[in-house]
Amino acid sequence: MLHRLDPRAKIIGLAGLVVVVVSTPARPVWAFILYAAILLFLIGVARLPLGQVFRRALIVAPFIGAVAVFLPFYQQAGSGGYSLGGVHVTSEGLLVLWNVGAKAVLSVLGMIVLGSTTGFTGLIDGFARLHAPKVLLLIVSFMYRYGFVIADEAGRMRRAMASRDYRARWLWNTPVLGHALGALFIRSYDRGERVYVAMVSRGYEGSVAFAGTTSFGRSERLFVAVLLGVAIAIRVAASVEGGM
Amino acid sequence: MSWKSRPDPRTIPAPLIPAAVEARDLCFSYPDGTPVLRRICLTIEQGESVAIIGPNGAGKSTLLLHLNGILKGTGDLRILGLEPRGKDLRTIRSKVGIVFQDPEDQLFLTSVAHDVAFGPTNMGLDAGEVARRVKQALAAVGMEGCEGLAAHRLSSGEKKRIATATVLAMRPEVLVLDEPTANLDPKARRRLIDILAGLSVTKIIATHDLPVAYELCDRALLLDQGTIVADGAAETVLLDETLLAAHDLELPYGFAPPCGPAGPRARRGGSDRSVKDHRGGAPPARAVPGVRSPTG
Repeated sequence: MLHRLDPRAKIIGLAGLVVVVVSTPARPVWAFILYAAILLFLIGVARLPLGQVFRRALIVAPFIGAVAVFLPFYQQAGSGGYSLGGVHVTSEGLLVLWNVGAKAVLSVLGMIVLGSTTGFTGLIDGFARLHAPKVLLLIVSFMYRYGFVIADEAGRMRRAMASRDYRARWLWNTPVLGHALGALFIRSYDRGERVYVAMVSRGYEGSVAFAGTTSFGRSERLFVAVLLGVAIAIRVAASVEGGM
Repeated sequence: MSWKSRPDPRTIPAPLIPAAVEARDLCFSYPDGTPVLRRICLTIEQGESVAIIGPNGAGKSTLLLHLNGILKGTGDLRILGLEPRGKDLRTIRSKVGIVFQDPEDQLFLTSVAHDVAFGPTNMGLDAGEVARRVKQALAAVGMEGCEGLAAHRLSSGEKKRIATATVLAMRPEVLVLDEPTANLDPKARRRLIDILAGLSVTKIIATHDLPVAYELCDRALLLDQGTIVADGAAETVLLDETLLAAHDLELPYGFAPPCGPAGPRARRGGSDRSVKDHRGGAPPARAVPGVRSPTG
């Protein structure tokens, strides 16, 4: 049922949820558990495969890892914590890690729910109807459309090279890859010209209409109101407890 | 009124309707000075089906890109009576639809529906009319119900049909096709030919596929090195072996023309031409290459 909602409702609701999560103070852990419960509920309602969702959420791991590695160096004030071979991690530092980690994971989960229930075309239409700049949307949709075409072309070039027994084994083999990349760039550039000609031939004069067919009805309003209402309530309660 | 059932313009007194294409001394050179088109003189009346044949690099695609004002050569050019410049350019582009060779270039949005709606939307039609045209155009190419598909999920033949639909949705008066049958398997090729044969608009088809030219067109132009070296009835130009050979072209091995004149009129004559063609003659498999006399 989440799949059928107007994309605008999902964009507003889930982007709003991310903003609320990110602005929550780090100390009240229960607030983050509640946010996670909301997201798990949405994942359940949308019947998304949990394993796949968490695999995709792993994309934040490098960022959290980077924070963890550099933690001892920028968060030196404070007490407690523990020492690892001369490197001291303070409890304030650990709080920063928790703060970044929890918020990053929750935000990414929110966007995964949005992305896996909406589909690319729906997202572009939704953003367009929310008056996002059309040039940006056009660039993004071209990237999506021609990413496949260029990847195909790169694959064909790679196969053509492999068929003539090219192996990039040594450093002096690599100039060929440079040439291949250059050829790929020129092909893409030429394609860009041809696409533009095809657009102009159909009367393109600088604007593209993205038109969705769904409407922002009662269930959309209900979804946004309940989702943001609950999230804001948690956020307010967390501030009250945190003494802010 | 549907664009499929327009009356044959040739039944209307000629002076009332402008020619689809009228070129006088049309020349075009690349920016580096290499001439591509040299003094092209050409008149194509509305309702004609014209094949443009010629070897690679003859200037076929360049000529096509002049027909909706993408390229601007020197000399006189009128499309449907309009000069391709200024305000009329917009009108011309809505009336002359070009189907490009590589459908990947023509399907640039994220779904079939968006791509087909692109042209009609640019024409300033309202949403209801755009939706109607998308539906009709997809039905015309036999791709109903594919609105939500992404272009990269389609087969080459399907991409070609959708690319054709993107142009049909604008209801062009002149349909220009660049190598319509390139890279298609026989079935996809046949489907596309049947779709094109069913459209009664002016057709200008640049192709290396001479049987397609023979089947769809009643007139053929042979272009070589930027000049028109032959212009006549399709059966005259396409069956002239010496002429074709002189310009690096040839009919496929074993090609035997069906009886009667070339072009769509021949197709309309009978519903099952393959039966009619071979009446009293050799079966197609044993047709002797080089013997091109009609067997009917």
